[in-house]
Amino acid sequence: MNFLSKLKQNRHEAKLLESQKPYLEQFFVEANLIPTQAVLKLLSSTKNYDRTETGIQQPSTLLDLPSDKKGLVLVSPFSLNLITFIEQLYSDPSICIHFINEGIEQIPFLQQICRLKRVFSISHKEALNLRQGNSKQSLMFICVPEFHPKSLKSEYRVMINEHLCKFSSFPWLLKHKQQLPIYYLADDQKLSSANQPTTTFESMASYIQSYPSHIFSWIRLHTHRVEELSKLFVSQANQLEALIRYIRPHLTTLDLQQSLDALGKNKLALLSENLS
Amino acid sequence: MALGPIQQVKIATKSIKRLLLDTDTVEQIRASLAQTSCQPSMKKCYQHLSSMEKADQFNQFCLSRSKADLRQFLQNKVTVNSPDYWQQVSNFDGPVIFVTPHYGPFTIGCLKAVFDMGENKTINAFYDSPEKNPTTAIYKDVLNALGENFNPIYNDKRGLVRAIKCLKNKEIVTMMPDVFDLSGQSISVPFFGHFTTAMAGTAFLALKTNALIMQGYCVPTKSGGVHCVLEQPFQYQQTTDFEQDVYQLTSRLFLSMEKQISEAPEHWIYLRQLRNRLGLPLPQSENFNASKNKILAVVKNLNMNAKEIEDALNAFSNH
Repeated sequence: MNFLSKLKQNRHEAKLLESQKPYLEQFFVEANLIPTQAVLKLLSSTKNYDRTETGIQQPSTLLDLPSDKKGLVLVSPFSLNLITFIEQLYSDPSICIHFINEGIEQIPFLQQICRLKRVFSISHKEALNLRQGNSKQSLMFICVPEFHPKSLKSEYRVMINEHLCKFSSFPWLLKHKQQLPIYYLADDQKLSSANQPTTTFESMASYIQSYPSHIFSWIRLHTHRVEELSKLFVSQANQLEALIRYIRPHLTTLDLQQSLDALGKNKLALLSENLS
Repeated sequence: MALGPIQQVKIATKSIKRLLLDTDTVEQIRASLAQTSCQPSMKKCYQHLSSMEKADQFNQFCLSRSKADLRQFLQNKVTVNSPDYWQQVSNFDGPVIFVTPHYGPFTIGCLKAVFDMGENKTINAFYDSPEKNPTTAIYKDVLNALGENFNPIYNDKRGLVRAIKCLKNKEIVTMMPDVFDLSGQSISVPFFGHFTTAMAGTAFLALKTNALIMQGYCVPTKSGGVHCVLEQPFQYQQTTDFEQDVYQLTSRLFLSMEKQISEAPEHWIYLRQLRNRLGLPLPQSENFNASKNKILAVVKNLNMNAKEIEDALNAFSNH
């Protein structure tokens, strides 16, 4: 990449990082993000492995996997911690990273990571159905909780700096489907067992609260707040109700009053359940 | 002497120039203008920003002039398109709701009502408190500039009760249903080919009190005055289905707003947000089919009968 392209890319990353600030401020009134340069240096180092890959396989010292396990599911917020871990992991040419990242935009540094040769952006459906191709390569999935779909019906609730948030159980579904161990990336770069989702999310919340400046996905975390999910839900329910009321006068055989009654009742029930 | 467009551009204030140079601002305005079928030109962007500045200037005018000057202004420079409608409202022996979106110098329209009708009917303006929305902090002083016959009513549970009381007392309440607030008081109605969030309070109050409703839009004139475009006052013919009535009445109010905003979008304060406020396309639109899966996902989330909804949508498209 020539100098001007690199400069343009760096400016773009800086702009994306800056754009996270209003969402960070929803959680933490006085907090700042780390300078872009620190992360760009890390990414540059990671890209070097693509240039100097020799094909010599070295056992990874980071992943202490049993011999019958050909990979793992890693749960981590999108953070400096994760990018640092990826940089270390990527030095092992046997590691192939599948990053579950479906239409995620406006996240700094993500595109650069996904452009690495052995990092593949895949959808949730692809992740569940993926089969290991090369037996010499470890199948590693990265699940960033704030990148997964969410709704008021998402299974897990956790407080992040006094903001109630909800996250889905997708990483554990993936673990079950792929028959892989699941780990959480702790802030000391060690892998902790993530068999208990509640404990995992509590650890994640604790990390986010301790190092808010190290998190790069505030725009996504913001959408996991129950307050935001409720607004989205109300908007969707209102539009569905309006749609039914709009088409009803044109239908001669269908009444739809029962649907409207069910909508009203269930909307209130779901909102009450989540806001209590 | 009225200034032509080119002269207006030449003397654009620094703040407008700065905003016109901000690509995000211009892009938002142009994207919204495109929704109104209005040409999303730089000239229109300028006209919008200029109209917003003028509305502020009118508010400052009200705060800085004496009551006598203000009365003279309202008498000579603020006109209505239909004096008959104005008179009908003034003479109506019952509750009245003035409906206006955040359009042009709407506070001047409210002051005009206070000036012309205040002796017969107290004017009450219903809006979000400054604690909830700091931009409304100026309203109380502006609308009280004549010093009498006006009361603010803040949009909360007590406010709703108070508004009903004022209406039952045959007073006038001004309502602005174009606020974007995903609260329990909001519903969705058609607007510019999509469903949008609308406040149901206006319809609720009108139906509960059988009020006379008049919609109006305040447009700044080239001579420095304000012209109020009024629609024919009406009382809504209620059915036994209250919620359907709320939807139908709110839809009617928004249809009127859509028409006015299509003709002169530059005066609408929420123009910049229009694109983001438009949700699901209407079912007769080409884009609707792409949203069907999302709709059915919401139906399932709400534990509703998905087959019934799917059958209804198919029946509508075959209609």
